Parts: sequence; C-alpha cells; structure tokens
Amino acid sequence: MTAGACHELRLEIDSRLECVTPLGLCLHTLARQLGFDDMQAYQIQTCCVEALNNAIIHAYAGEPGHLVSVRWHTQANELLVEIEDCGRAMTVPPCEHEPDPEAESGRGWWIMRQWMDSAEYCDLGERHYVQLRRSIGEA
Amino acid sequence: MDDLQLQDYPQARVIRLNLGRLTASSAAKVLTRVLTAGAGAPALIIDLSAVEFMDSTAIGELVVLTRRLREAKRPYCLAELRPPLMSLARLMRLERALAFCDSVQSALTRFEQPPTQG
Repeated sequence: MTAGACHELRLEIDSRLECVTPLGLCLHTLARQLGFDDMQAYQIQTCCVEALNNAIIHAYAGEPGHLVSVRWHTQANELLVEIEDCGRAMTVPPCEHEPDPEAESGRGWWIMRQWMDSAEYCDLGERHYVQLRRSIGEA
Repeated sequence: MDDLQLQDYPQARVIRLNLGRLTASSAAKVLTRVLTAGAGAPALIIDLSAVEFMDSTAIGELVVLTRRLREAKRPYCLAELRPPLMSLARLMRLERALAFCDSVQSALTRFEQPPTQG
C-alpha cells in the first residue's frame, strides 16, 4: 500500500449523469495513489462509474436533485468502495450471466463482478449501496 | 474543434470522435450524429482513437448504432480502440457482435478489397 495515499474519503454528487465523469476521474487518481497500475485504476474507475450510473438511472430514474455518495476506504490490504443512494431499491437480483454481445443494456453488473474481487448490493431499507472490493496486494 | 471530424476516401468515410469520453450522458446523442454524418458514404470507419473512457451505456449505444448500419447494409468498422477499451470490449465478447479494426489504415485497406464472388 502506498504511503501518503488517501485511505478514507467520502464524495457526493447530484444525481445527474454529467456529474459521473469528473467523479470517475477522481476515483482513478485515488486508485493510482493506492499503487494500482493504470489498467487496474481504469478497471476500478469503470466499475464505480457503472454503479454510479445504476444509482442515477435506476434508483432515481434519471431525476436530478438527489444525492449519490461514494465512500472510498481501505482496510488491511483491501480497497472498499460503497456507492450509496436513497432512491428506489433494486427488486431483481443482478444478473449472474454473461450478457449477450448483442444486448443493448445489462452489462454493468457483469463488468463489476469481473473486474472487482466482489460486487454486492446491500438494501438497508431507505438507503442502498453497492459494495465493491478489490485487493490492494495485487497492485 | 468539432467533436466529429469527417474525412472522405473513395471506399469509406472516416468519422473521428474527438471526445475523451463516451458515456451514458452523451453516447446516444453523439452516436445518432455519427449515423447522420455517415449518410451516403459507401462504408463507415468510426475512429475511436481519442476516446479514453467508455461505460456500458455507451457500449449499448454502439451496439444500437452498428445494428442500424447492418440493417442498412452499410459496411462499418470501429477502429483504433485504446487498449483499456479493447479489454472492456473483449470482456463483453463484443468482437462477436461488432466489427473492429486495429487502425483506420487497415480498415481502409479492408474496404478497398473487391467483394468476393459466389
């Protein structure tokens, strides 16, 4: 783990898709500071962007004016990222299957599960979050 | 600079996306413009060399775009994806559904070839 890197951070954006890109860039930089190489940081950024997009598009139905928060933290040799919303809860479990290459949607969870060590959805009633885990040891 | 840059060759029109990111907030509009910009061309080469980041929504929009091109019997190629994006495309096994080329030049060469007989 890289000394001087940020190990605990909370970031918030409004539920607008145009807010996701700058936040994704920020998360890429944070991942690089933890010692992940550029490709690994790109993968972490992509997975976080997928979870953020899901919160905005599905939980908030694309409606601006709601909060999406990211909790970025490390424990032991693991990065944990929690993307939280207070919108509509996911009612159908995320698909475990590889998406059809011709599909127009439904790839987000597959990407998260392939590129992170784990990607889980947690429903706490009024709020819900996606928890992404990735070992820092491999960086 | 316009975010779409067009260059015509006898065999194809190259449309370069001068965008660093193709994401859920922009992909549908941009790729609809690509379709319009490609009207009348014998083939389309979509140069993605400037695109550094793409999310799964943008991938879905690319699938829609290429489906429309196929339905219109318009040859196309997605050229010069950066390595991270190509790794994302391979993860999704997109090479089974979409036509990729390493470079604009190789795509131009591909479209130069006369159709095979039979």
